[in-house]
Amino acid sequence: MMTDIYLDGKKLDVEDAEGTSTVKELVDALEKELLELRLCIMDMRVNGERLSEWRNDPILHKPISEYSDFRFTTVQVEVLAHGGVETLREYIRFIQDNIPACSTDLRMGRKSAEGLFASVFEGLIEVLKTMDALTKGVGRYDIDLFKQTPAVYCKSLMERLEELNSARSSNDMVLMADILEYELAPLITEMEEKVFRRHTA
Amino acid sequence: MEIFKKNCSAIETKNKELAARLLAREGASVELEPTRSDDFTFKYGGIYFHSRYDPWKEALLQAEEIMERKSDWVMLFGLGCGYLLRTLIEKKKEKVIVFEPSMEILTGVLKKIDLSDCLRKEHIVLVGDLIQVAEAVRGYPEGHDDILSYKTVSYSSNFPRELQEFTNRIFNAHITNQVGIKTDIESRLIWIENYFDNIGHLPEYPPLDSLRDRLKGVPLVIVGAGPSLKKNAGLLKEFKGKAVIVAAITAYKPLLKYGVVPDFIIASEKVDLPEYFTYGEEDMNTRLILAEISHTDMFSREVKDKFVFFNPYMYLSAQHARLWGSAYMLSSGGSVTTAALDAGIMFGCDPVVFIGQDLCFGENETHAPGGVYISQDVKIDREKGTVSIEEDYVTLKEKARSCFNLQWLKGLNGKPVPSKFDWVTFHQWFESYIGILKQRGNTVKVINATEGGAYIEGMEHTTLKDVLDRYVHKEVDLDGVISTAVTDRRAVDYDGLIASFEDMQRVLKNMNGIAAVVLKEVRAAKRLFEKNGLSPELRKNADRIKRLEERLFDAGGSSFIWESLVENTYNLKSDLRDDAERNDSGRFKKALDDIRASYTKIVAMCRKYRPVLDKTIKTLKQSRSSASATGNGCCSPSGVHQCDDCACTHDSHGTGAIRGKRRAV
Repeated sequence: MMTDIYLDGKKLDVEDAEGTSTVKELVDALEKELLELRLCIMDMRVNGERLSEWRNDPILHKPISEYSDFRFTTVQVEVLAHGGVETLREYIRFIQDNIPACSTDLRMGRKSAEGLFASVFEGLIEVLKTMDALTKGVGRYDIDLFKQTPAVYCKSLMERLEELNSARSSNDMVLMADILEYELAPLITEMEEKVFRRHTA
Repeated sequence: MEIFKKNCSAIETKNKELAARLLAREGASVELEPTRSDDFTFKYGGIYFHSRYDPWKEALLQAEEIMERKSDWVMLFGLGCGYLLRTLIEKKKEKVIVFEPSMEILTGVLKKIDLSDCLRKEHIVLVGDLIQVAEAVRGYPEGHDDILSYKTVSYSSNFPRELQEFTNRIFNAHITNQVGIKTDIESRLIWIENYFDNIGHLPEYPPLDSLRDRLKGVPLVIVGAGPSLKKNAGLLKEFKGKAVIVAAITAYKPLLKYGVVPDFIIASEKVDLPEYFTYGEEDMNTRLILAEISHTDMFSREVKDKFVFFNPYMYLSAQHARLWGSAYMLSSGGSVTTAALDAGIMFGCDPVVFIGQDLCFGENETHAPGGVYISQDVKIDREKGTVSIEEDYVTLKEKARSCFNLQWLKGLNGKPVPSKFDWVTFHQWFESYIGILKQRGNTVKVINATEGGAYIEGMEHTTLKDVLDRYVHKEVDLDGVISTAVTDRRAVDYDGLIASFEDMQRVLKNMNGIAAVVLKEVRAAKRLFEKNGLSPELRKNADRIKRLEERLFDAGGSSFIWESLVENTYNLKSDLRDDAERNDSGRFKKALDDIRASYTKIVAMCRKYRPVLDKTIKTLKQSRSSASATGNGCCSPSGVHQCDDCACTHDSHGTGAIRGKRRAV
């Protein structure tokens, strides 16, 4: 069976004579060529179906020949990076909005504290991961995303997260609330002011 | 150390025992560390108890949460560094009972933080153990007050068991307060009537304290009718003649099944209990201990001897006990077994041993078999927190059904046992009473040999066999002791009694007159109010009513008549609580209605008791003549005994080192 490959709607001529090349090999080859054009793959459809988490999908390790068609959509690297920063700021806003309620609920020993804390904690991990990905990802393209490198804040955030985790292990809700309210919240506010530009998009 | 002493001195104003314990304490205390706000916090059990940054802000959050919920009293689980307490006081929430579960924390905090101004406030009470928690709830809030129990997160995670016990004890003690009001409303009028009905009997039988100190060192066994009685009642035969056996009236017939006739039966019920007697030889081999307010027919039961005790919570009894020849006011926790403990200590008995004192439900019963319950079916619903009882009672044709809220006590094995309000009340009283005994240096051994049921703090818990082996060796000539006691009893002061009742007659007449004038003023004020609404002229009526009331209280003093109006008093208290929700006109109208209802009742009671007093005086005069004819003269009245040895408090049902309100009527 022949497999059709499309990039931004245009059919590509791809040679897979033995029928053993994997989807990952295809993606890598494409991205290599797109690098010079400051483009990257944003979206992938397989047999007409969109894969939302395609970079982690097991399909990557399967032979291309098993499928009838692949459709890739690209995006400008700058657009993608600024989009990433916007997502990061949304995470941060969410965390900033939830820290006061979370610390209050922790101090009062309310049951709702548990859910709020989990969302703040996981949100912070996402912030760290996204900052790391953005820092590493845009390095290759020389894009000026941040006012200053977020690395120093990443380190402080990591330390606070470790303290939070340790306070949670010993069930010290007062300490958890203190770290959130008096250490993390000001740190995040400072990071937002010092690292992010006013208009990023 | 200055701060510590200052704090202890403030605590001492309301809780001497805790202050003494703190001053004598030598153990470790928690280390306080400074916060960013120049205050203090501390770590205990590996966690922080207050914010390291701003503990006041944290306390404000907690105080606001408390203020949102309407309550008359706050029960605070944990003092911490006192931020929440002080914030509550600043917000005018000044009725707070604080329980600190850790002496280590309490000592550490009181050494560094001056809380003396808070602790000196009239209604701020600090307690340091769980028995005192119940005492404080019994001593301060009223039954109709709302109580809010509050704990901070650090305390609840560090002291989960103490918190559970704290919550249980508050709940139980508050129910006891509510039951106290209910009992007062349901019983007080009947007690007064019984007292008057018993006037003819009281000279006939010796006061219980005729036996004071006559049984020094003799073991006393107090027999309750709890389900565990079946475990060891048979062994009581071995005690006969070597110990004194006092049975609750409910335990009398069950004991007979085991071939044991108790030396005494104690009964103080306001109703007659004919079904509890055998009307045979057994009755004639036992003696009755009755209250002055027991139902009058109980005095007609034929038994070997009868003794009478007087209750401090009755105005008439408190006034007259010494005139009846008694220098002893019995302290009771609401049951005859609690009363028997106080009496036993007054007799000088040692040890005092309880059996059948389960204070909780058995497998499927509330009482030991062989009594007045032919059969019982007890169903406990843990989810709903209720217990329903269906029982066949000897005098009833149909099955009796009842339902109660389930309460919990710590069992002998440490696990909770299901109980209900009355048993819980007795349990609290036992623990409190024994605590006071120990504080007063009384070394009498109080042993719980029930071999089941609830654990009673302060009592030694062992088996009846062990008690028998350790303490029951010598023969006791109980008949001889009693005979001497009866011969030596104090004579009745008839003249004093007659004078007292005549004085009451005069008081009632005066009160009746004043109350009638108040009612006239109220009618006039109401007419004026209906015509002109709230007007300045009404002030004149109000002032006249106020002056009349002052005269009435001066004239009435502490007459028993106020006790007969107890239901009215509680209703008025309830109305006052709702008053804030009314506008000025509504409040005025309600006040007029309340005054009219109260004074109508006063007039009715005065009229009711005037002929009763006439009859009482006549009866006493006849008794005096009979006594003169038989050579029984009057004696000089002696003062009521101060009870240094036992834990009597004289002024209420309850006892307690921590005293707040008087259960005044």
